[in-house]
Amino acid sequence: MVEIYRRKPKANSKELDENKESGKMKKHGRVSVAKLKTMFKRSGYDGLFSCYATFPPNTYFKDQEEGEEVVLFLRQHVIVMVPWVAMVLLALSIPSAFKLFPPFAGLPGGYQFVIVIMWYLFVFGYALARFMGWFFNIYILTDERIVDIDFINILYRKVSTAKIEDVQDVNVESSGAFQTFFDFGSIRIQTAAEVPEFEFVNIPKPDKVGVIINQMVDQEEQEKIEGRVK
Amino acid sequence: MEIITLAESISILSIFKVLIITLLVVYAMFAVLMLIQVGSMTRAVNLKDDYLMKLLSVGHLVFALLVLIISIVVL
Repeated sequence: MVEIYRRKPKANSKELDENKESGKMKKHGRVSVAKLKTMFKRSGYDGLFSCYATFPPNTYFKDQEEGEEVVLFLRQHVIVMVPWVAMVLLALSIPSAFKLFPPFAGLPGGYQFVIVIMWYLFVFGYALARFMGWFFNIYILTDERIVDIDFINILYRKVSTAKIEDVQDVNVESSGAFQTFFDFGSIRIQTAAEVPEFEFVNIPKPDKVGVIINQMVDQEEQEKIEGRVK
Repeated sequence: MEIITLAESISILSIFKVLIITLLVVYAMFAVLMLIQVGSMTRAVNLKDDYLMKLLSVGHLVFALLVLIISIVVL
C-alpha cells in the first residue's frame, strides 16, 4: 500500500515580505531543535546494530554545522542482513566437505591447509564487506537537512544532502507480508534540490518516519512564516 | 616413467603455489583498501561503535597477511 503525503501550499512571498518589514525577521539560536525535541521524544538506541534512533547523542557527520542536531538516524532494517548471514554460516561449514572432492583430497597436506584457511579468509572478507555495506548506508535527518549516505561497495560511496524546506513530496511504501510483519519499508522523498529524489530503502517504522519528515517540513514552513531564521 | 610423472606433478604444484600466493597478495591489497575505506567512512560519519568496524577491518588485514605468510612458508 502506497501512502502519499502532500505538503501544504508554500507561504506566499507577500506574507514573508510583511514579516521582514515589521522587523519580525530576527535570528534565533536553533529554537527549532528544542521544539522538535518536544514533538519527537528520544527513542531507539545508537549501538552497533542500531537502525532507528531519534536524537542519538553520539552521532555526528562531517559537514554538520554548529548547533545543527541529528533528529533521526536510520539504517536498513536488521532483517535484510539475514540472507547473507545464512549464506556465510553455510559457507563456513563447507570446508568439512572439501575432502569429498578428489582433486582436493589428492593434494599434499600443506596445500589442503592453505586452501582451507584461504576459504575462511574469503568468507570473512565477504561478511565484512556486506556488513560494511549495511553499517555505512545511513540516512540522517537533521533539523535543517536530509543526508543520504550510500555505501554502494568498497570502491564507491555517495553522500547526498537536501534542505528540509526543499522537500515537496513524501511517499511511504511497505508491501508484502514480510515487510508488514517486521514493520519496515521504503520512503521516497521528492525535493526541489539538485538531487530530485531521495530513497530510504528498507528502513524500520516507515510510517512513523514519514510523519516525522512531514512534521519537520511543516515546522520549517511555520518558522518561515513567523520570520525566524537560523 | 615415475620420474617424469613426479617432474610433471611438481611443476603443476609450483604453478599452483605461485597462483595461490599471487591471489593472496592481491587479496591483501584489497584488505588494505577496505581499511582505508573504513577510515574514510568513520571520518565522514562519527558513530558510537565505529571503533568496532576499524577493529574488524584491521583484524581482516592481519588475517590476510597471516594467510599470505603461512602460504609462503608452508607451500
